[in-house]
Parts: sequence; C-alpha cells; structure tokens
Amino acid sequence: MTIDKESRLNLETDEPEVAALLVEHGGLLDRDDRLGDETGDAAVYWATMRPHWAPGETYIARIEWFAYPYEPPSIKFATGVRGSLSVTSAWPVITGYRAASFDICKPMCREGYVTHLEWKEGSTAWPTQGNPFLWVVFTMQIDFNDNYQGRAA
Amino acid sequence: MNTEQRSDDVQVKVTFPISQHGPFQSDFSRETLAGTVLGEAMTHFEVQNDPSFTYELAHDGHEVDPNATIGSIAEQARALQFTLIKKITQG
Repeated sequence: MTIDKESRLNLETDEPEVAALLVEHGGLLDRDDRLGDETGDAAVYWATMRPHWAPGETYIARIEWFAYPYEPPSIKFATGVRGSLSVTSAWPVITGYRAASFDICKPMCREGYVTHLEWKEGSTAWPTQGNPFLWVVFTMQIDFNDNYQGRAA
Repeated sequence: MNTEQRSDDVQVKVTFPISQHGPFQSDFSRETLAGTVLGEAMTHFEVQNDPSFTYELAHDGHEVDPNATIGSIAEQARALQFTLIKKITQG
C-alpha cells in the first residue's frame, strides 16, 4: 500500500509526538520505509510498546495508514518488526483486543469500523482533527499501562 | 477555575490530541479534585460523556482518579500536565 503525498506529509508532521510518547514509555516508533532497504512502505509504522507493569514484555504493533488523517489505520500485532501478523501470542490480553481474530474491536482502527458499521456516525466516528495518530497510540499506551492482563496464548 | 492565583497553586495544562482547540490552562489550588479539572477541561474542549465514550484525565501514561487532589498528583511540583483521554466503553 502506498499513500498519497498529502497523507505522507500529514503523517510526517504528526509522527514526532507519537515517537516521543513511545520513547517516554520505553517504546519506539519505526517507519517501514526507513528500515534500511528499498522494500519499505511509508504507510506502515511499527510501534514497539511495553506495559508499565511488565516492562520486560515487548509488543510490536503494525499500524498501516490509508489516507491520513481521514481514515482509521489498520492495527495488527506482529511477532517483531516485519514479523508474522498471524500469531496470537503476539497480542496482549486487553479488553477489546481480540487475539483470536487478530483485530481490535474499538472505534479507533479500520478493523473496528468494519465490524461495527454503526460506529462511522456520531461520537464514535473517526476523528480527523488534531493528531489522530497520537490519539490512537496514546489510547493503546493507556490500555497497556492500566488494562493489560498478560500475553495471549 | 480560580480567579485569584495563590502562591501554592498548581499550574495545570490539559491537552487533547484530537481537538481543534488549543490546550486548557489554569491555576488550581492543591485541594482541588482532579474531577473538577476534568469537568473544566471537557467544557473547554466542548466534549461530553455519552454511552460510547467517557472522558478521563491521564497523567504520566495512567488514568487519573477523579477523586485525587491536584496536590497529591503534583507532589512538590508547581506545574502539572494532563492529557484528556476519550475512553471507549464498548468494544
């Protein structure tokens, strides 16, 4: 997937705050096309995240954008940066994070809006103002810090 | 919101990543409850709780108990930064 120039510029404006947030919580943000070869995708970010109460546990979230900030991203957990997206143990146990179906059932990602079409309207509609990338990752970090129950089997 | 700043007040700043508004900033006494700050911040950002979402304050990556006092969160600090989070209640 490639993204349009506007989306790319908007992401480059917003990503520094996301990277700073992750570093503050022991994580890291990588963009796929900056990983050292020519096969990368500028629409894909890899967020390394750690739960506050289990800093030895590392999770890698693959966040793929389509039209930023106008559409929600796809979010999947991987076994590593560019790792497998179909391993349940790559997922955390957090309410709404469904390892068995490899999706997050919340109105903050493409998978959630596909499952619940009604979320496209009203207060659950995808937010396009401010820094939605930061909002998504901040929401996930709060989940990791306050709602994390362990690693999926 | 305090209209008269006292020397032991805490300078509070609340940001909300998905708002068109700039940060909410005000001074509060150390006895002020976080829930009071939350209410004023929600007014500033023009958001309300509904069946799908509730709003909470987060500090240092954690949700803040609305019954905690600003002084207990700030400890010795004179300034405090929160992020308003839109907490999804369904999923």
